[in-house]
Amino acid sequence: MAGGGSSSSRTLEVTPTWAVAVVCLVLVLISIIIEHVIDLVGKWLKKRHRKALYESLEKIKSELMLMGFISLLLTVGQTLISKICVPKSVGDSWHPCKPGEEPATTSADGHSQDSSTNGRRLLQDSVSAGVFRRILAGGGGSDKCAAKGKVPLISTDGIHQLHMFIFVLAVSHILYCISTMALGRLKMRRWKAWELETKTAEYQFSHDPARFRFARETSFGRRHLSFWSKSPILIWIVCFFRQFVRSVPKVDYLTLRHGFIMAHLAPQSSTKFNFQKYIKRSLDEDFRVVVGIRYVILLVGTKLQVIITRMAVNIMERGDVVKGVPIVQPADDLFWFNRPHLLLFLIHFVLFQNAFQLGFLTWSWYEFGYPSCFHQNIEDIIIRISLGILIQVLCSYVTLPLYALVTQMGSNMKPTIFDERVATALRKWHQLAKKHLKENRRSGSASPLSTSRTATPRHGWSPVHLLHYNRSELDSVQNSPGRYLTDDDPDLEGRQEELMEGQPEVEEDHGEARLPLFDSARMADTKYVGRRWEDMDTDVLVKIFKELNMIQLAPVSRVCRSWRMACSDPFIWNTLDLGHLQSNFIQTTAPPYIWVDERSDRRLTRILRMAMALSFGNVTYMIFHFNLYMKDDHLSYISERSPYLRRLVMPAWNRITKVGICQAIQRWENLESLTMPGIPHPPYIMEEISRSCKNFSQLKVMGTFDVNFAFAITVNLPKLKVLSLRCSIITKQALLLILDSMDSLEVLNISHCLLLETLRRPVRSELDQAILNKGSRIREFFHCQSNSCTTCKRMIEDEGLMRWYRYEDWFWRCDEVSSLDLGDYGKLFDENCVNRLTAS
Amino acid sequence: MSTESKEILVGESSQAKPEKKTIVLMASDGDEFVVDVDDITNQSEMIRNLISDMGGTDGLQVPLLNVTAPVLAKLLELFNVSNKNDDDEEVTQKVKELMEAELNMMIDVLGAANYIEATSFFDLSCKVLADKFKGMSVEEVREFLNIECDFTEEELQQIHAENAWAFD
Repeated sequence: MAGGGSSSSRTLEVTPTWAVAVVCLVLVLISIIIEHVIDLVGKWLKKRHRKALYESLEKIKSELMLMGFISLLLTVGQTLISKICVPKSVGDSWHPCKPGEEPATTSADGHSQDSSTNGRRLLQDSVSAGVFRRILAGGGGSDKCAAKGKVPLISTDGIHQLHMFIFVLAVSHILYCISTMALGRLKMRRWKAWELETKTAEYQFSHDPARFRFARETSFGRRHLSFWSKSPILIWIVCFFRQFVRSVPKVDYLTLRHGFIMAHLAPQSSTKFNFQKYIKRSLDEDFRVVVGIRYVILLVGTKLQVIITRMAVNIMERGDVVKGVPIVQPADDLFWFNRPHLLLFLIHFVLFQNAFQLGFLTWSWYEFGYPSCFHQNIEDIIIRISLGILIQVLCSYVTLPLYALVTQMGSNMKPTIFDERVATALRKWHQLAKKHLKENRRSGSASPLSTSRTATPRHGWSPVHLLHYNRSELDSVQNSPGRYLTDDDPDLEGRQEELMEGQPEVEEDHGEARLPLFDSARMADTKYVGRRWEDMDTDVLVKIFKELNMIQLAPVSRVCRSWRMACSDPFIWNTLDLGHLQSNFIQTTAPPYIWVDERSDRRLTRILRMAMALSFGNVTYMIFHFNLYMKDDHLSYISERSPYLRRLVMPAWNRITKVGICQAIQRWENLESLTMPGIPHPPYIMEEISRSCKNFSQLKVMGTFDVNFAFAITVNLPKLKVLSLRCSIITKQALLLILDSMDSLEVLNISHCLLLETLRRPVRSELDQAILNKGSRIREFFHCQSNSCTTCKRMIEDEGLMRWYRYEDWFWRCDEVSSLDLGDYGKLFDENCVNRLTAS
Repeated sequence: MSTESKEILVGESSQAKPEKKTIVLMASDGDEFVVDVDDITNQSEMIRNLISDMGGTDGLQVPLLNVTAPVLAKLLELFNVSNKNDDDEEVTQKVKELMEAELNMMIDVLGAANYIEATSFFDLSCKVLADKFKGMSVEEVREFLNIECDFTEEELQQIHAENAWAFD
């Protein structure tokens, strides 16, 4: 710096040119590198189509330039400024440090002078020091001022320090901006997962718009509608604390998303529209404003939370029944002065203040050393720094994303709703529509509506369409521009560049969505005029069809399309219980120890074909009788047609081969629960399950359970949660192996089992204390071994191999574990079915 | 539909004991129906929950946006029958009568019953309808409910092929 530094005695005239050249070169190189880096970042952002972020980068760049310019001005004007003299009395007023504290600060001054020979001293010291140095430098205004008995306005030294301050401020502000964006992004990442969730079938099912619920009973309502939401004071207090912990939970996000889509977009887009991407775009946009600011932030966060709650209260007031997902009504008047933008300015201000604080602290530390008058005590500094960081995190991690989310609930949409390319397409369409209308008017044709209609989507003209969206979704208009809103068509990605170049700016009024397409329809009274049976609510149809059995369902499913859909509803087909169906068989002495007559096989084939044709693969739970002997063909057929099977009860598989069962299990990736007979060589099946079924958690074995079996389970299914061995023969060794090595087992049922020492030596054994102790570690341990229990008695009478056919129909279907109990047979395959099928 | 509101008193009990609490149900066309609280909460789970959530019935108006006045009147009439009889036989009979007389109204009555969660009545009516379908052929169902077959030729062939040997 000119005028500063001990080398100031040597002017450029006597400095070696190589030294000047080297210094200049280094400086130029650094600036080129910085310039380049900024350029690269800008290009990268452009490539990623983050226009808003790119603009904020430009802003940062111009900010840097401004700072540089100020510092340049200061350098040039240094002598001029220091020549401005003021009377001593004026110059002594308003010091940041009181003269009384001088003893403490002079030591610091002395300390810093060790490290650098000049300049690093306190302002009040600089008067004398400045005079001293100026004389050495052979120029300057301070000596002149001293001569007049006055002091300079700011000494050259002070200007130098100011210089440093501007630099530090610029750097810390940039760091702040970057960390704000990074933290905001971090938050958005979670929303992304939620957004993905809305696309899953499960979400769409549980948020079926046709379902009705009480506002209070929705999870959104539960969170926001309690005693405090009505009191104006409590609402602020609760919301204040809420912003610190889980400021935007999933419910809020999903509900706000839904509200936004319902109010601004065509209804069928609810699953396709990527809300998170939109928020991301508008966060970029908001960030652009923020670039360029402490206690106020808490107020802002609180206010945003209050808005969410108010919206919940609004739902309450609007009507107590919610159809599908609660629809929050976006409205500007929830915000302060009805201007959502005010909040952004506040955030902006607070962030800048914060950056200023920290910049100032860093600077004064660097400039004046630690115990200077700017920060006397360590507590003060700690509080400052921690507050600074806390507010930074709060601001960027909580408030800014919250802002981006909640302000979407204003009555207007932001322009960022569209990608640039979409906006362009929309604008073209808008102009086209206008032109059409004009032409129409000019020609004065008799039917102005008919032509304009061709250019206008149906949603715009019939708000009723919005109200009946759940039914009209099926025939949504394919060629309306509404489609543009929802499609994130990857094919368009390539063309975006040229579109952007052609029409780089998106005019404001498009974003404001003045097109008729987005006129949000308000609830108005509706009439179902002339409803037909084809159009009956699927809910009701399904309920009626659930009363029918498979044979009665068959003709109904062929009536019309919507009925066919209703007939295959998972609500009807979830559980296919063929528990009434048995094979005609004779027991034989050679494997497979069973002979089944051909008629039974054909009958089973027919029934399975019928069920698979009607259910469209919606069966997730299948139950077969212990006397139903399937063949590989049957199993292969159902595994092919019901790939989403989750539970299978098949207590007899004498006629099924290893290959057959393994092939079926390979297809059933979702299989969670299996009820199987006791088989002699179980490892292969357990291996196949562990290979194919990732969610497998329940196993019931009906038959003999020896140590081989136990070993196969412990090795292959260590994550098994539920195991039922009810009414089986168990060896003690097998039981101990299970108890010792199955750590994740939560439920174990060994009720009415015949416990043997070993299979070779069939001696009945009692459940001893050691076993009971081990069992008590399992969350639910069912056991029963008593002489008064009917089931236990039957077990002993049958010598461990229960002859189920001798007892009641329901007897084999029971289980102490509620999730394994089969319950009633259901309507699908009732006794009538059996009678009709066996008769024919 | 007339827009001026008319009041219909439903349930004789409300006339006999005027001190009994009532609430107002509003049909989608703005018509108001004054009903006895006990009568309606007996049937509709939704209204029962609503009342308990609102903490009282004073001046409670329930707008039923999906239910038109004639449908609501019919529904309340059927509730009345159901409230007076302990066994379902009478109601079943009434529903059957309605099915014979105004089949298309059944669509809306069922929809409304589902909407206000009149569970037991809804189940019962569904059963009545389902019974009617039992043993009907495809053509009979279509004729009975005046449904058009909207399958394309291709789909029909596919269905036929699928069912050909499963159902014969």
